[in-house]
Amino acid sequence: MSSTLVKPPSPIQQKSGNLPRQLDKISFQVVMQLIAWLGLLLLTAPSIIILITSFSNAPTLEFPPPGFSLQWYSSLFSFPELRAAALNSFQVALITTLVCVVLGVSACLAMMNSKGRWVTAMDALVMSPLALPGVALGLGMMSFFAMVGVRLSLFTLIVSHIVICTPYVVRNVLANLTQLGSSLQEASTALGASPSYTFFKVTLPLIRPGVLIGAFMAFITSFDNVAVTLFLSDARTDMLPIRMWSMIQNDLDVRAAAISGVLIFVTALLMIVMERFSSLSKALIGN
Amino acid sequence: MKISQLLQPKSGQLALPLAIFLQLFYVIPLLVLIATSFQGEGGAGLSLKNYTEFFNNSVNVKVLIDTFLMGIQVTIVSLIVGYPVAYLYIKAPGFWKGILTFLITLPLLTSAVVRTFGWVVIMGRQGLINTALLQLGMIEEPIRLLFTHNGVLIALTQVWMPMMVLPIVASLSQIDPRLAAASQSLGGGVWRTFWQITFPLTLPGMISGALLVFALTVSSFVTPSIIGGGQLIYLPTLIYQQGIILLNQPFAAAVSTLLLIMVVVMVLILTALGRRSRRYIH
Amino acid sequence: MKSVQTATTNVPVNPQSELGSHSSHSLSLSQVMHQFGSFVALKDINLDIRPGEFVSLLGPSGCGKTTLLRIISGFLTPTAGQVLIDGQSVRGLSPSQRGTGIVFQNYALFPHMSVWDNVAYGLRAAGKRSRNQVASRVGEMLNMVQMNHLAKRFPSELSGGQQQRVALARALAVKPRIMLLDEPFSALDKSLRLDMQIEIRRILSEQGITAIMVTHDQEEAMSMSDRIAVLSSGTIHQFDTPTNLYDRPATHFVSSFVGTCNHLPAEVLGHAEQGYQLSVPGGELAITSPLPLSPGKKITLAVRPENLQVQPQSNPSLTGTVTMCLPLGSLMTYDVCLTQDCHVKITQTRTMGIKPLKSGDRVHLNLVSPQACMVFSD
Ligand SMILES: Nc1ncnc2c1ncn2[C@@H]1O[C@H](COP(=O)(O)OP(=O)(O)OP(=O)(O)O)[C@@H](O)[C@H]1O
Ligand SMILES: [Mg+2]
Repeated sequence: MSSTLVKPPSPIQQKSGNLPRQLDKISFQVVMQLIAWLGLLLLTAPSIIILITSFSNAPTLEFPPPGFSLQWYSSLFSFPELRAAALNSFQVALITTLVCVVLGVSACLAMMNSKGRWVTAMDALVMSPLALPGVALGLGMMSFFAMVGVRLSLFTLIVSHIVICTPYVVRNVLANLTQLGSSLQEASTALGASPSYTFFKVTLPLIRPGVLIGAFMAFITSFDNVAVTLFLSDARTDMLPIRMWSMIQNDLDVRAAAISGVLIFVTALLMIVMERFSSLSKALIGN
Repeated sequence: MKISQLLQPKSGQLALPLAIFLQLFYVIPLLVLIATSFQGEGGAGLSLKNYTEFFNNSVNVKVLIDTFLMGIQVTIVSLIVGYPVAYLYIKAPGFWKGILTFLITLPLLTSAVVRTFGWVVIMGRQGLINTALLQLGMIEEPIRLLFTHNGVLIALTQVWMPMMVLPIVASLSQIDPRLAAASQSLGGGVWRTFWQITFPLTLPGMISGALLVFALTVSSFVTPSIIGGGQLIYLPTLIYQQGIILLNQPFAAAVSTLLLIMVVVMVLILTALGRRSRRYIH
Repeated sequence: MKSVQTATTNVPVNPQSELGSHSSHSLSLSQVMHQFGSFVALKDINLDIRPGEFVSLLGPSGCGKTTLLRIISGFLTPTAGQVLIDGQSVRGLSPSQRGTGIVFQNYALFPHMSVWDNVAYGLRAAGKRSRNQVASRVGEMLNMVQMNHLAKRFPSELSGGQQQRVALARALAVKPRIMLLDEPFSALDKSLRLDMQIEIRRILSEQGITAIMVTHDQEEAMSMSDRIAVLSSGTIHQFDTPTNLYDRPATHFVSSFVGTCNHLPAEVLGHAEQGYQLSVPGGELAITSPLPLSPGKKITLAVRPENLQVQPQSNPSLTGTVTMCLPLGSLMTYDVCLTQDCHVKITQTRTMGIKPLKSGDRVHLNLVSPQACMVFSD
């Protein structure tokens, strides 16, 4: 490599220097591509394997499946506990998302429009649950509720989910607001619009992509959460991820594969829908 | 107060509901957690009893070290594997980019329980790997992959690798493509250009990825508890066992505090590094 | 192609305001001061703008023009001082209550609304008008800016000039008392800019609306404004008509910022017939000055290039060598070297038949008249 750097390029030397050049380029391509494809395989393997397994006709979990059928999917219909658990999880995720959006968007408006120390502090406070261990948060909240004498219920569960889901809303909405700038809001104000008119007619329609993506991620996070949920749901309320977790942990139930299959399908479908509405991938990748 | 007054652009009042909510249900519980960890015998007085108990038991110390090691290992592996994935993504032409986006983000958005279950199927006694190796005659008996440290390592790497890939993609996309062209026109080879130009400029992305992956790995509960089974224990599993099964909340709180400290210290170190690495990048 | 001069003649020099149109409003700034932290962005700004007047704020980048505009519109509260509309303080009135219309630099059109909805926005926000009233006002505004045929389009489907018309129509629809324009033409290319300047000036004076425009383009300010306020580092150097600004700049800064000007270091030698005799690099000059000057005083003499003429040798005059000739359309500009480090520029109209000077010619220069210069004491 360094030889091509130092020596003046003469036709003969260039020819002899071409081979290391090519080698250099090819080896780089090979190494990078190899690891990258390995990485992609690693990333996608579990989901694909689960999808294949879910169509298995074997009575136990084995791979590759001896044959294919829809028996495990149809078995889900005669599994009322599951439906109850899914409904509970859906309900909690929905309420959590709604509260997160209301609290998060209004906080973002305030953070966007003022500068000062408190904005940085607030940002750190809101974002920190993302990086802190859910089990520790769950234990802390459980102890706190026990201390103030609040019994565990859907309420405590939703409260804890709001804490861990708000960061997703705030991150996406704040990014959207910053990108939007303040000039459109000022234009609206200068035209005589009240702050609330400005919010509903100008700001909200324009930050809708960020709100949608934030809400989507908050919903998924709440729906899938195990760690915090273990500590804050009461014993009677059955939540889907917890049920799946114990199904897998205790007896490797093949029905779990069918549930997983449904979840993967629904997530992929939602992703495609979100992509249509508000370019989810840009929010996740291309910032 | 009227809504119109509340929505007054310059006031910070709109952040108040969230701030109060988080103070009440997040900051105070964390303080309660830390306070509980110092609770003495019978819930009275301040003591370090829980901590001394933790460190006097070599099993616990091993759990602490294993967790930390796991965090470091997963971070390194997902950096090594994730970087080329990010690189591939950036260089991919339009159509492939869409597919890669889907492949990278779908795992991120499917639940950790589902993904871990996939690994169970792959690593189980009758799973993909064992079946394949047996068929190929490379092994006589199924090898044990489940319930091993390396099994957990592989599964956790898969679960959190997107968190490494995304920030690297973001910082790769900010690099001026003319820089690489300039380096190559000056005679720098492809490897040299990569190590001297591209790699250093993506340090901020790698550091923020490392921060996330480490924090998320040592906090992981679902994956280690399924792949690790009952034998392999990490701090989050220990907290769960002590807090919910054994109802020894002060001890669980002490373990939680240690885990919190581990995460916070690592986050602080990496944030400081990140700030330094950002100096040449506008 | 139209030139800047056409723009000036197209514009009614005498706005309706002088007739006391009841729809025009006056604006005053009294001792306005603004600080960002410890940085003083504006100090002691006093400005009295008559009803219906078109005023430009002219100054280099960062001198505080936008800050002043934001104070008038109410988005910034000045650290000290008052903004008065029709003699009444607007302190405490929010931007939406002040009746100031703004045309933003990037137009700030609402991207998710059609042209029609953009123009109707302010009328609907006020909420007092019926659907028909809104429709007729919007139609009237779109007619005025000749955008009726594009009412259904979205801002992203419009050209720069069309977007600007919409921004203007949107701001005018709510009948603002004062119109504020922040560098309204900076995003337009040159030929379109001229059309829009004429257009906007026409519309504003037809409506008799008092307007303040921020710009750092002196030609734009000169051709459009009734009066211009020249700002530099947070102070107003001069507030005057375009011609006065050019002919009688109040400060060294104004003389160099508005038009080109030669600045010569000079020393007062003594009194001459009607004025003073000065020693200048390359010779001597006789001038008249409104300022009393004492012999021995060091001053800066500012002379516009067109106020220096080539003469047969006479006393007093400047002697120098032509170093460069730049033909610019109807004008000829010469760079004349007086001494090694003192050059002056002169311009002459190019007339057919008269031989132009060439590089290396030795020339004698004098003022076209003794008043054709400005004196600034340093
Ligand atoms: N929010 C702010 N905080 C601190 N300083 C500011 C702020 N806004 C403006 N300034 C400073 O005040 C000065 C005047 O700014 P202003 O925006 O009014 O300039 P301007 O005359 O409009 O310039 P330009 O022609 O470049 O738009 C500048 O030096 C700027 O750095
Ligand atoms: Mg400005």
